[in-house]
Amino acid sequence: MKEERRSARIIESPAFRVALLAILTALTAVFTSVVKIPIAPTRGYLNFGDVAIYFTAFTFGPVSALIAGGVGTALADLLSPYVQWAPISLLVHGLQGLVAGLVAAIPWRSKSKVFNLFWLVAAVAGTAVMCGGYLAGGTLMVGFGAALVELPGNLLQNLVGVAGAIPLTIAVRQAYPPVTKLRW
Amino acid sequence: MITQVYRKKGPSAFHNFDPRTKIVLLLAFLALFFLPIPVAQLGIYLAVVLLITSIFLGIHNTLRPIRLILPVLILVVLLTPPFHRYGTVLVSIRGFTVLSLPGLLETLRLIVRFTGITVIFYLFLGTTDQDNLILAFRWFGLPFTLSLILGIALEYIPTILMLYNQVQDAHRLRRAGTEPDSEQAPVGAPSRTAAAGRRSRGESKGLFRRLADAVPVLTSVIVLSVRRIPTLAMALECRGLGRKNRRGSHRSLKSGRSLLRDGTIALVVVAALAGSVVLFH
Repeated sequence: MKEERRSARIIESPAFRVALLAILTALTAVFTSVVKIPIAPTRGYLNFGDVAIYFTAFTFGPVSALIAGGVGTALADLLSPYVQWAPISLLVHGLQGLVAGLVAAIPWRSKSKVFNLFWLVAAVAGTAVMCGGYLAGGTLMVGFGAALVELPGNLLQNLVGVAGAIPLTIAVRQAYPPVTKLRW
Repeated sequence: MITQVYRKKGPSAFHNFDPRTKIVLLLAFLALFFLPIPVAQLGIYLAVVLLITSIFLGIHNTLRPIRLILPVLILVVLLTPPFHRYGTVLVSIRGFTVLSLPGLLETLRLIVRFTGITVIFYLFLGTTDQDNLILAFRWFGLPFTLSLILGIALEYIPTILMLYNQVQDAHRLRRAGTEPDSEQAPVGAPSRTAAAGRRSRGESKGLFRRLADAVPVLTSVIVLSVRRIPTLAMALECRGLGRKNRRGSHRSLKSGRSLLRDGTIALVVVAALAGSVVLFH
């Protein structure tokens, strides 16, 4: 009980929240811009930005996912040659993280489990927000036809994101149990 | 260790232009490319943007972002006309409208828009220090907490990148050392474990197999990063974050004559753009 009160006080500290969000934002930016899997048929790459967003949403909550997801991916775009996508990434990935975090948080007050079925529901909701957001933003920038071509890639990106985020969440909780107390 | 790696010092005057006025000009040009004005007029504005970028950054740097978006532009050319098959027919095959006049105009509009947006973002944000950019956002009202998160995240990106490379190398060498065909190198001879690691990297693997291989690496990187949070929080508290006393500011953007000069130039440019839109519309 005493330990829980101490953990709650630490989380409420502005300095701790700033530090937490800054580290998560930097992690998301690195996952988006550096951690990649090449896809042989198209010679393209899948990045791990969505893995970071879903991991943050499942582990740290909706507010952390909103800020880390939006700002982290926008920073990755700013540091890459695709600067023009930064505003759209900020909005779309921020909303993706927020929605996924809110949905994943619904059964949180119940007994804890290693795997939470609502993570899959949260991932579906996040995927809908991300794909819909990029379709809308892409339509403004490059037209509906060219934006539609990106849709299968975005769906695959989210599938990889969920497939990576769930085992990553379980593995990090097992490797570093105090991480569960950093949620707010 | 926190390091400064994002210094952008260029020879052009545009690099030293006030970042606040750069943001105003960026927004003005962004709005311009979304206005419902004739395509020819948009093309003239694009030409002006390309000319300004060539003057300040050189032709090679101006063509660089355009080369990167060429595949997208090709997609726009191929996929926009099918969604605009109404109006005056320009090209038809056996009665099927391949290209119509509205389709052609819409394609040109999207090409000009996307190219213009790409180049202006490259020009404005590529010539601005990240630190000055954050200060400019602060001046426009971005909360101090958010600007602090941005600044610290930028400082920590190289650190986390370094962690990722170290952990990845460690996992790769461990995998190479446990492969059945790896040999024990004699002392003083070049190690063959690195070569075995390179061979294993070159092998084709399924997507989900690669994902499964990445999870241990990412777990280590995340745990090592999250463990730094308490230390960083203590450092921030030592510097007074969260206290009620007024915070100090140790960096600021320039003010006085140079701000007046840059602001006047920005106002003149925005007025000229607005005037040209009204005049030629």
